Amino acid sequence: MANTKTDEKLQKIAKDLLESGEVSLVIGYAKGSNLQRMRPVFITKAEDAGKLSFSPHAVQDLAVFLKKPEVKKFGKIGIVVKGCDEKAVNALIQEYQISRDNIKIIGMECNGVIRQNIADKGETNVSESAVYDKCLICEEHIPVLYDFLIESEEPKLVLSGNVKPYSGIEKLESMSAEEKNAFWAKEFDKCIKCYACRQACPLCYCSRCIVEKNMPQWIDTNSEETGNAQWNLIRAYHLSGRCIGCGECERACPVNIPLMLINEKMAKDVYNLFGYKSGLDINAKPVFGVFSESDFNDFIK
Amino acid sequence: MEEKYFEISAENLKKFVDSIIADNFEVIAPTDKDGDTFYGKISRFEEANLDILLPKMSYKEYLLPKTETLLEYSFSGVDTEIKDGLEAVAGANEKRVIFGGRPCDAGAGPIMEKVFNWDYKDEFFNERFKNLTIVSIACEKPDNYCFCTEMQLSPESSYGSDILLKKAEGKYFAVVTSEKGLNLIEPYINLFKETAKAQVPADKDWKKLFEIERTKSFLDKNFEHNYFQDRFLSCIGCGVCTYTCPTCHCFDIQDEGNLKEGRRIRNWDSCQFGVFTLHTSGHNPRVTQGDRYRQRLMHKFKIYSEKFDKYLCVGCGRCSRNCPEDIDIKEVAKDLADMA
Repeated sequence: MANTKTDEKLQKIAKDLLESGEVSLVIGYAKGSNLQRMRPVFITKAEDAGKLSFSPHAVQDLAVFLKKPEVKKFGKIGIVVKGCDEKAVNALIQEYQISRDNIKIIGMECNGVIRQNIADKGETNVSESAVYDKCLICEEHIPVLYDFLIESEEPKLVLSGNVKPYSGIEKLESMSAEEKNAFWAKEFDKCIKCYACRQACPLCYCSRCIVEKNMPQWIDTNSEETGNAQWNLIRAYHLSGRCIGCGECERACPVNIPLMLINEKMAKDVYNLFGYKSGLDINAKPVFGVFSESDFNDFIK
Repeated sequence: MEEKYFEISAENLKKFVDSIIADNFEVIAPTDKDGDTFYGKISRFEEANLDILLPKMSYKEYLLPKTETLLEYSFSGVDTEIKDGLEAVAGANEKRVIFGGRPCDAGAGPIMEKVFNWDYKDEFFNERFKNLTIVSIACEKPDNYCFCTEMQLSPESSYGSDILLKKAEGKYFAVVTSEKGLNLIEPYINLFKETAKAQVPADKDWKKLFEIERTKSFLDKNFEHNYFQDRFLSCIGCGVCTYTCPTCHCFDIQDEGNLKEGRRIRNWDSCQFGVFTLHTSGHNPRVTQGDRYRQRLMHKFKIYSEKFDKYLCVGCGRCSRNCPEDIDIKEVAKDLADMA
């Protein structure tokens, strides 16, 4: 398929960055295994910049690669990000995982990406019912931080309000503790402990995850009720106040556990309790990394 | 057993499935769930989705559960009591039928069986495998991720199926390959009409896109090739390829317990995890994700085939469809074949 104007702009920026030596690697999207799929691509030579492309099928959060040792060794990196993904870059800067000086952010204005299982069936149009829930509540169609911005050629996402994003949260909030427990027991029963949620997460960057620590064994290794619940709960806690809502864990999950219900609920609670949203400001202190006298403490009885 | 051939109408096929369910068989079929299709227990024929090419996960868990108890122990004073986990597995799958799976999934069973009986006879696997009855449906339209033909099978292969159903002109032909298959249909034989092999539509001439032997010959000679490090820079090590794979069978043995009691279990494991090969010394022979994905290719297309007469891949394409970063193993295997 021919290059779009967006592709051309993107390729030009990447080419210039690589030619000038400002970065030694550009992480972006290239056309994938079918017309409705894109895949990550790693460009190290200016002449390969022509592989770069962008479309509403660019579902991956490429910030996940910034935690990868093989990628880190490139030093100065250019990265193509949507607004949601860019928040992960910010959170990584906030948590001292990467330096702002070492990253060139190529921000893409995005009006929503199409859910992959729908795209695989041939869907190519961005619409309320085709995009991910995160797109319906998106407030960062234009990334909050960027070195370059490429405006979208796609029509704006029109919301009728008929599709209610993360509607499961409201349902969960109205449940009793027993009902919630039953709901999650059923969902976690599906878990196969592949840890794809962790691997796909740009903010799960521990070089040794707690499930891999076995002296002592903190988390049961089994993929049954106890082990699955422990894993999914510990991950939810480790992401609370940090998750930027890219939804990659849920997209990667091969057994369709609605992980974003947990993450969004946590994010909502953190916002209500502390007025904090993750990934919006590289100079903000992570909410659970600071103590403030004004923090509520009425849970201490 | 010599193959037997039957004809069955679509209506009778429904009756057959509903009858075995009524007779207390647990029927596992592709069924719509959580926005996709998975293998799951059905309570009537209509719940099976036979139009879908492949469910998202394979049915490997019925042969190798994601967690399996090998033994249980308890202490009482100075006495230790040990209970063999095999007791609980006895007779497993005797009343279980996988219905509506595809020839690739069926082909995975005998391929795993070879590994589980190579030196040590894995009684847990064997007990489950010998009892599970597989009724597959031949594929009419493989998709672009499918490459069973390249992997020595075909969309119409009966390898590993006890019964293979082939759809033709609104009815089905049943190719029964085993006693297990014959025993399953015996009580309902009036729904079937025996026929001759010549009446069963011949297999189509399925074309291959590449020769897997060439992929192997590349792997034989190019362990250190840059391709692996470059191509799999996009691999995030999520292990979805191995967990959704019908032939990947690696497991990890763990003990779980307290001062009074405990158990020894085996859990699914994956060569795509960094800790998979991490030595206690701290050394890791597979440092990069490129090393790890290469291992997966090596095991599937080289190592296994040198020990057994098959490859450790049935070409179902699940690892490609489910890869969050769009790594397409068919494309990779073809790349390697082209470079050989």
